[in-house]
Amino acid sequence: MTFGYGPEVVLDRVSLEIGERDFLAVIGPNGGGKTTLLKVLLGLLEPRSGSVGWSFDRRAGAVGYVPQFAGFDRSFPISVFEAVRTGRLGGRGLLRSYAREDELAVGRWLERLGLAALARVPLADLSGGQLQRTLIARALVADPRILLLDEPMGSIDSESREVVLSLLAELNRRAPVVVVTHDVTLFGGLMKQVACVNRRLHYHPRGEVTAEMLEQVYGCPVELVTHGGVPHRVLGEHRHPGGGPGGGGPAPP
Amino acid sequence: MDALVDLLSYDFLRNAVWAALLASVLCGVLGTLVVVKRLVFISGGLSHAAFGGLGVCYFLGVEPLLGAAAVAVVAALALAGTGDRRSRSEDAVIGILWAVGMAVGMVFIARTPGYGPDLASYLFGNILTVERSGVVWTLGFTAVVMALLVLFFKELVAVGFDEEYARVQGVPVGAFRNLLLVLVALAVVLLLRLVGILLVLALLTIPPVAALALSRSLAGVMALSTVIGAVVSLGGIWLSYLLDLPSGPCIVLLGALLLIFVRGGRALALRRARARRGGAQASVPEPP
Repeated sequence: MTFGYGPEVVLDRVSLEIGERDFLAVIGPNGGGKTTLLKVLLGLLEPRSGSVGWSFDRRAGAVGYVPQFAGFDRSFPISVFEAVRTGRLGGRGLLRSYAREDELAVGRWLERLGLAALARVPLADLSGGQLQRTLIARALVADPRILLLDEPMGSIDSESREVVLSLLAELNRRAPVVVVTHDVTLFGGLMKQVACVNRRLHYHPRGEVTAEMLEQVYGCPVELVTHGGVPHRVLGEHRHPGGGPGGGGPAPP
Repeated sequence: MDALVDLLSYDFLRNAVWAALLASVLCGVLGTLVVVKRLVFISGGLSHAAFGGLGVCYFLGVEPLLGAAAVAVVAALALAGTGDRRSRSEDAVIGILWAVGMAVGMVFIARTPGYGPDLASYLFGNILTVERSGVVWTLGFTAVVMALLVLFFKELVAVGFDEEYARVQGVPVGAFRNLLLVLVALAVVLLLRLVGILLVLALLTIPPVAALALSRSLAGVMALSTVIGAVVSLGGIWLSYLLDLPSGPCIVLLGALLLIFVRGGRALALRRARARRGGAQASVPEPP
């Protein structure tokens, strides 16, 4: 699949398959096309060539999406409850109104994300972290068949971060998760696959994070630090198409 | 009060009051969507493009509102067809549409034989010369708009709040946008004759912007805009009677005053609340 704006090619002959229990981290430098890749997957952008296919009925409200929250317009007059409820809109007939079960689902997810006390608060009055959790609740409230998140942890405090991570782990037991992130250490324990996007896409099926990958992301050499209890993921070189064979399997920690 | 009752016994004033109320409802509902979706400029362009159709129909001796409606709908759909909201070209196209529509209308009206229509009344309107048929048409259209609003309210909320997410969920976002533009175009054309282009734009924008400062839900903003629109337009008519001034400008200026009052009051209240909070060194507690 190739995508571009005007003469500029943003994603060049990118190929990606997402399996049923995948947890795919999409990393890469700013402007490398991470968000664009997500939008093409979501059908928000039309690829110039190639296509995106789904193994399930895409229209059945089956896709959860957490947009990048920076640049999200929150001036719209809407409460946290109503905003999350819009997540239940997919897959229903145009004239079918929200039912009791929708309200219950919204209440449940507000509770789990620590937003229950803010249900009636207008979106404009939320802090950054609260807004981000609201957007995550909206994506989860429909019990999606696949979840795509764009930098979901930006301004979330560490306590809520643990909550979100455990929710993602739980969802991942029945649905694939794709997360665009600049900080791979955040999802260290959950990550199963890694896609490096910088115009081209390099896919790492075992989710190992290499120093080279990180250098590409941060633009300078970095030391990879993992937390205790998190499986270490080290090394493995890019297999450049047409280039030599890569560096083999993951080295022992 | 007696004076008011006396006034209302005049047919033309009764029609004016009806026109003002219907315009308030239409503009309260559609204007809220126009303002939150940032379609004000488009609406202005459409209303002036419609003026072109109106002029052509005058020249041809056809019902002018038909021409205006046709042009407005075609222009709305053509604009929707250009698609990409971010594109620079759409912005420019609206400006061109605005100017060319006006020019076409004025050229054809100038060439219309006999006693031409009063141009100023189309631009600035004269709510005191509203005819009964205009009121009836507008009433019917208002009913259609309200029905659509009730049927599709949850989609409108979703599309207005986050167009992208609505699209991901399979809501036909483009269709809703086109529908909104067509409804705005038709509303503008109907209200054109009742209150004039200037007053339509004023009623589409001033009440929603004031209401957005006061209410926190889309339905609340729509209801409040309608009330504000009604107060402002009836108050404006009353003022114009008292001061012997043209009614349209009176309504617009009264609305502007109210807007300054509401926005200013809210800004003051916010500052006071912040000062109080700052003094206590407390912030909004985050729930666990």
